[in-house]
Amino acid sequence: MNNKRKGLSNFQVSAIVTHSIIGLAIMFLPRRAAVYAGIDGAIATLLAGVVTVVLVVLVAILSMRHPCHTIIEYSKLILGKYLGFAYGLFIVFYTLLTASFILRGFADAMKILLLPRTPLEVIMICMILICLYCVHGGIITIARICEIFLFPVLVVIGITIVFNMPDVQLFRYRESFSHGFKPIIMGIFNIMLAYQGYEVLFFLVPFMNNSRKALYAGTGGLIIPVVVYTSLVFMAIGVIGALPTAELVFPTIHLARRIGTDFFERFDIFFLVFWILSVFTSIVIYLYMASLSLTRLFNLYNYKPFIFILIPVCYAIAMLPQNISQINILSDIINFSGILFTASSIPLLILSIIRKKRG
Amino acid sequence: MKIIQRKKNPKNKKIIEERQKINTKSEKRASGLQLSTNLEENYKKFQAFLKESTDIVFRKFKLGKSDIDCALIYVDGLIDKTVVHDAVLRPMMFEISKLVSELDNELSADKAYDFVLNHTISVADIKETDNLDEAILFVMSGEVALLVDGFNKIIIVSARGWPARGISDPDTEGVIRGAKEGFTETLRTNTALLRRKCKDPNMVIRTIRLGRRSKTDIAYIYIKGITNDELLKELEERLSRIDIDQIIDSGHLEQLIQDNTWSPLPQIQATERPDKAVANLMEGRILILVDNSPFALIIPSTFSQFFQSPEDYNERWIVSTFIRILRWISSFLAVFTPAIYISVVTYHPGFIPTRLALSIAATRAGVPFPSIIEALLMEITIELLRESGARLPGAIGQTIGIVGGIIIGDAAVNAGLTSPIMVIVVALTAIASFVIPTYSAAVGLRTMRFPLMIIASFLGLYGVIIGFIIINIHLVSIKSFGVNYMSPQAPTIFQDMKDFVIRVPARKMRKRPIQAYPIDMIRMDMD
Repeated sequence: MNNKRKGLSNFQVSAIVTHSIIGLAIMFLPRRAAVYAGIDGAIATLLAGVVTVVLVVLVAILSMRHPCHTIIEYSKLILGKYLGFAYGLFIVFYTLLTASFILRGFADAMKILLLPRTPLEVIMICMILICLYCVHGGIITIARICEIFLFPVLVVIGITIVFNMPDVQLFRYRESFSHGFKPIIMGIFNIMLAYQGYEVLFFLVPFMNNSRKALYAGTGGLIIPVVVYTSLVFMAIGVIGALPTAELVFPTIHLARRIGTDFFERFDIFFLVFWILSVFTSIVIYLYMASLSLTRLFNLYNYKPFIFILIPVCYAIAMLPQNISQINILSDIINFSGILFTASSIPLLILSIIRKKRG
Repeated sequence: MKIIQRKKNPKNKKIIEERQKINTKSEKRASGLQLSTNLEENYKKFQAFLKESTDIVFRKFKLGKSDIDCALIYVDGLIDKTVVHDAVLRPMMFEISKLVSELDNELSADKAYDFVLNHTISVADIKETDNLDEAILFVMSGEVALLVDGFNKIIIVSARGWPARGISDPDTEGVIRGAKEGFTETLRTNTALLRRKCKDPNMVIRTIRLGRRSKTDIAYIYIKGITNDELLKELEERLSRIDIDQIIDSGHLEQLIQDNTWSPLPQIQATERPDKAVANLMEGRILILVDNSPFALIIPSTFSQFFQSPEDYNERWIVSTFIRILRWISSFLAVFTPAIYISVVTYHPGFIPTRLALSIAATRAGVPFPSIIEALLMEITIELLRESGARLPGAIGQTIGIVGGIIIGDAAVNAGLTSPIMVIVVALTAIASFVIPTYSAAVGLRTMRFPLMIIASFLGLYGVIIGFIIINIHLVSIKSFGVNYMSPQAPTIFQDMKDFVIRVPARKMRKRPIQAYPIDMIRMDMD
């Protein structure tokens, strides 16, 4: 009876996956989709989601073959000692970089939208300190925080989507597919960045109560972002139009601002406040992944001292970019390494099957 | 259920041992002394311990017409004198001779003890002891020690009776529909109140004594077959670790056995209501009653329990659900309203409708302080009013509340110290915090709003949300006796959601909540 409740439940795993995906990207996603796929942005988002589902299935199968270890440990097993170590180092690098990137993107958005006169450093330090508090609590605390924040975040995004529905002008979709499939495929590749975060499944399986259900829990957690993202892009293009969406810095905030009523004159602030919750969970999960990978890389088990090492590094990386173009370079690096990371699950899986490594 | 082991620091072991030596020296203990068969010696031993106090009564008398010495020792004021007179002294001094002659017996010295015990004293509750230490403890807790010459045993006659407060309305947890009786200061009355509500022989009332000097009776009550054994073991373990001179009240005991000291919120619920207590026993929880305290402790407790009132189950489910939602909203308001007000006024005036923003700005035009000073001033004032109202006698307290609330509020606005909107915010916060049925939880939540106000004045809504996140991280990471504080919300237990924000119809609550890991899950069988 009591042993059942020690690890993560399936619902918690789904909540973590959802929260690690929905984060910074929700702010920029409609612009990205509109820039690369034009009016086919919603289709591209949906297809990118489908591709991600396939990747999640691969990740889950690979993880379920090694239900007692994280990717750091079994990549050493599969790839050998030195290659595995290098691969683990790459994961640490990627997760830490992503955490920093989310932190920086978040702080920039906050500075523009909510706190124009507050220094960037203050916003970032406050955020990273509460992240430290949460990560220090361990995976159980993170899972529960995700559970608690799931409902309010989804409700606010849902309100944004539903209340924009009457304003969707279907004529904007009249020329769908008119540019052939090239923009859609381009879109899929670029939208994949928005779905990054499901890699957390690599790290969750050893902590699950029932690791055999990792596949369902992972895909279940992915379905929510797919639905949210697709409908959000659909709304943005339908309400604002593909070309204006591509011009806007924060198209989602624009959508939220449109539904302000007499009482909530600025619904966008309300949206922003709840968006902070989802960004917070994303950073926390990435920081957790980074510190856990670093610990397991050296075959240690207490990851808590490593957070205190990683937090200043994360802050320093987030402070590095001086302007938008440097941030974009960072974003490209992350996009590339993210795809590399998840794509690596295919050769890992094949190697694991060939070399008959299990457990 | 994870058992939290709290180990005594080995470094302190030596210090603790040394301290214990000192303590036992300063405590008068009779454990080394043996009772003799001579009454005079025993009597002197008692006197050695108790002579200095004026409230101890020593009474020597002869048994009937014989020459056998007897003695009574009791604490004046703690016993029912009519019982001692009618059921102990009169039979032993007069009626015993008649009884002896009727039975054609002789009152010899070797039979006197048995005869007194079996035929003379007409009191139901009688104990025997041959331990002086124990006998003194009995005397101090209101029983009568009866010594008979020639025997090294003491008869303890239970004739407790002292002036006590009667059963009255529970002050802190009033209900409109529901029982109107509350616990009192006497442990025995409280257990009787529980027995009246649950006649199940499986309801076990165990009593231990805590406090080296105060020897406070502490009863823990559970229902065998529902309560999880691990929970019981954990409680006994924690109680056994307590080594203190006095247990003042159940609130004191609560702090000695709780999980997390660094939290403003109570992890153990205190209640004055027997009906609530029994309902919690039925969910597999354990109840602790402390003598001299009208508050019972319920362990384990979760955060959602503080929003439940016994009335919820007596009213129709739709009404109760509405009231539950009201309570959750009010708890949010009690914590966050002043912080949100400060951040909206200072940083985000666009958040509210333009006209309202303009009117707030207009009313604030004459106020000389920034909004944080204004808010702190008014919030501290209302806390002062609340505290003074609670300390003053009933009628004056209410007057102070009204006078303070209306006059100070109005005068503060007229004097230009604060804006009318701020008065509304403060009043709303105060009213909202009193909606929460559990006093200690309400106080804990109210305390949180001051740090939130300060962080909101620095970072606006971002600060408020940071505060919200910190509170949530804290709430999900604490536990109450191995039970997660935020369940059923986190970790999500869908089954327990039936009694969370929505209180489902009584017919649908067929199973007990699994928060306390009860052994027997089925509450109701229905076809």
